[in-house]
Amino acid sequence: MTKPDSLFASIDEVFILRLAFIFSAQFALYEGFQDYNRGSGHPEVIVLTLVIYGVSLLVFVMSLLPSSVVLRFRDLPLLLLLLVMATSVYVVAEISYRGAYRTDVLAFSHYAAMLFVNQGANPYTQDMTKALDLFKVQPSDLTPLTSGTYLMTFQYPALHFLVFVPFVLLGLRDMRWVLVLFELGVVLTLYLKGPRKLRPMLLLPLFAGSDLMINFTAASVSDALWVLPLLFAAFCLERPIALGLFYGLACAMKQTPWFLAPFLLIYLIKTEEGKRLRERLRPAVKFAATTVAVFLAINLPFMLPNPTAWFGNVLTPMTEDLVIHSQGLSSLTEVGLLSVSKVFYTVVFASVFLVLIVNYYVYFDKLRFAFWIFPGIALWFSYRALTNYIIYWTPLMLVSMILWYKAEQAKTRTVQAT
Amino acid sequence: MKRVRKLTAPLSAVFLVLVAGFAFTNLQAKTEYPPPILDPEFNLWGSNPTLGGKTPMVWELEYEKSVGDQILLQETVTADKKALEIQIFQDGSDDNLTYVRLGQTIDGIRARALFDEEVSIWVLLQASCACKGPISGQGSIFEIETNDGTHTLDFLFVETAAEVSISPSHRTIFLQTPMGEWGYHSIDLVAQYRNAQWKPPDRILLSIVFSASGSATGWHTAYVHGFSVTKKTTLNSMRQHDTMLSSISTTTLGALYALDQCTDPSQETYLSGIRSSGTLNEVCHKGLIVDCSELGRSA
Repeated sequence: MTKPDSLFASIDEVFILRLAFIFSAQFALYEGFQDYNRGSGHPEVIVLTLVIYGVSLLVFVMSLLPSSVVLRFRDLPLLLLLLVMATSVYVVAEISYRGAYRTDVLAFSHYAAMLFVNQGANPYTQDMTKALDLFKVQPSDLTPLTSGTYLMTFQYPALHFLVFVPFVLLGLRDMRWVLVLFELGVVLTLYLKGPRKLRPMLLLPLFAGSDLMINFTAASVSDALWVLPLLFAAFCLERPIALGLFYGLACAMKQTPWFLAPFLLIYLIKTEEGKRLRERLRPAVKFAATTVAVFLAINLPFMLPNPTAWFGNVLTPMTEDLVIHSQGLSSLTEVGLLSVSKVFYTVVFASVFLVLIVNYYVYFDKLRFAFWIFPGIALWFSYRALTNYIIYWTPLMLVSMILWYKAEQAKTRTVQAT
Repeated sequence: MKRVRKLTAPLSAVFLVLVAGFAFTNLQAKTEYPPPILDPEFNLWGSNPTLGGKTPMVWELEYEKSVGDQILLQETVTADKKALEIQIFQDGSDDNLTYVRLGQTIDGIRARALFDEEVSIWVLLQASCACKGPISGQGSIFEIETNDGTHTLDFLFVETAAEVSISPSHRTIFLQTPMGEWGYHSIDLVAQYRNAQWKPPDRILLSIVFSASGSATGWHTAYVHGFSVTKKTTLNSMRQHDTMLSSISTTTLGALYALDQCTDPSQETYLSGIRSSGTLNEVCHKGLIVDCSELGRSA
C-alpha cells in the first residue's frame, strides 16, 4: 500500500497549490466577465461564459478542500487557465473582432504564406496590399509612414511566414490559432520544466494580466512565435550547438531576439572563465556558427534571388520612415511634449544597449541570469517602443528563475553532501 | 579588475547622462508630427459590399443616392496623373441631391500638424455629360469641406472665382479651377481660421465632397490626384503669423528684420516701394517668404 501524496507534500507546497486554485478561479471569473462584455449578448459567448463561471466556482470550492484532494488535482489551475485563455482568444478574435486581423503583421505573414504555397512567390518582392482586404484589417491597425502612406511590404525574417505554410496547406483560416499553439507550448514547457512543488507559482506572472497570454494574441500580435524557440534555447544554455539551433530559429522568426546576441555570447564566454582563451571562446564560436547556419538556411532561398528586397524589408525600422509610436520614452515626442528628432532616440537606445553590454560583462557574476530583459530595457528607449517588445521577455525571465533555482538547489545538495 | 568593477557602473551613468544631454542639445527638432492626412494619395482600396466594388480604405465613405442614380469610385490615370475618380450619375427622377463624401477625422497631434503644415491638393473637374438624356444644367459641386463641430469651411472648386462668403460659423472659399485641367490649390486652414477669428480645433473632419442636384441630370466626374502636406519653410505657425502681422502694423521692414527673415539692406528700397501696396502683407500672409530673394520673386 502506497502512502498518499499528502504525507509527502509539505504544508508550504499545499499552501501554494491552494493559492494557485484561488488565483486561477479568480482569473477565470475576471475573464468570464470580460468575455460577457466583449460578446455583447452573443448566445455562443453567454454559453461559454456560463461554463467559465461554473468551473471557476468549482475551483474556488476545491481550493479549500482537504489537502489530499488539492494534491490529486494539482494541475487543475493550469488546465483552467488554458481553458480561459483559449475561450477568451476565441471570443475576442472571432466574436468581438469578427475574425478580422488587428495587425498588418499577421495579415502580411498569412498572405505571404498563401503566396508561397499557391504561386511559389518570394514575399519580399510582393506588394501586400491585398492582404488588408483579405483579412479585413482596419486602417487604424496599419503601420503609417511619415508621408501618410502605409507600409505594404513583408518585413520579417522568412520563418515568420514559413511557420504558417503547413497551416495554409491544412486550410486553417485564422492563424491566431497557430499563435495560441505556440503560447500553449510556452506555458507547458515552463510548467513541466519548473520545480514540481513550485510549478503553480510560475503561472502567476504569465496571467498577471490579460495582455500577454490573451489580448495581444487575439489582436494578432505574433511575438509568441519567437518566444517558444527562445525558451528552448534558454534551457540549453550549457549546450552551445542546441542553443545556437533554437536561437537561430527564434532569430529567423522576428528581429526582436537579435538584440540578445551579445549577451548570449558574453554568457558563453564568461561561464568558461578560468580556462584558456581558446577553450573559453570555443562554445561561443560553436553557438555563433550554428545560429548563423540555421538563420541562413531558412532565409537564403529568399535572400539570394533579391538581396536588396530582403535587406530592405527586414531592416524596415532602420530604412523606412516610420512614425514615432511608443509606450516608451519617445511617447513624450509623440504627444508633442519633447521636441527631439527620431535620431535622438536611436542614439539613446544605442547608448543604453552599449552600457548594458559593458555592465553585463563586468558584473557577470551578479547579472548572470538577468540579461533576458536587457533587450526590453534598451528597446524602451527607441522611437518605436511598443509594449510587446517588453512583455514577451517575461517567459524568458521565468526560465532564468528555474535555472537559478536548480543551480542553487544543486549547490545546496553539494554542501549537504560534504 | 577591482577598479574596473568599481568604476564601470558610475561611469556608465555619467556616459548615459552625457550622451543624452549632447543628443538633446544637438538633435532638438521641430516637432516631428505624424502625418495629418492618412493615405493622401488614395493608395489603399478595399472591398465595399454596400456600394459594390472597391473604395478607399482609409477614407470613410458616405453617400446619398436615389434608386436610379449611380456612384462610382475608382483608381485611374487621367491627364498623366494617377487619381481617384468620383463619378455620379444623376437620373433626375426626383429633386434629391446625390452626393459622395470621403472623409477622415483628424484629431490630437495630427490636428495640430494639419494647422502647422501646408496642405495642398490636385484636382480636376470634368464637364458634365448628359450620357443618358439631355443635360439640364451643371448643378454639381466639388469641394473640400472641413468641420470641427462648430465651424465649417468649404473650399469650392469652381470655374469662376468669387469673393469669400462669410457667416459666423461657415465660410465658403472659391478656388478657381479651369474645367478639364489639373488645378493645384492650397487649402489654407490657418488663414481661414485666423481671418474668421476661430480657435484652431482639437478635432476636425476633412472631407472631399462631390454632389449633383436633382436637376443636373447626367454624369458628373471629378478627380483628386491627392493631398500634399509639407512642412512650412518659413513663417509657418499661427503664432509666428500673428507675431509677424502685429509687427507689420508698426513697420514692415522692422518686422522682417525682427523675424530674421530679411537681413539684406539692399532690399530696403524695394520694401519701401511695396509697403503701402499691401503686396507684402499678402506675401507674408501666405507664408511664402523664405529669404529676400524669395521676396523679390514673390512680388
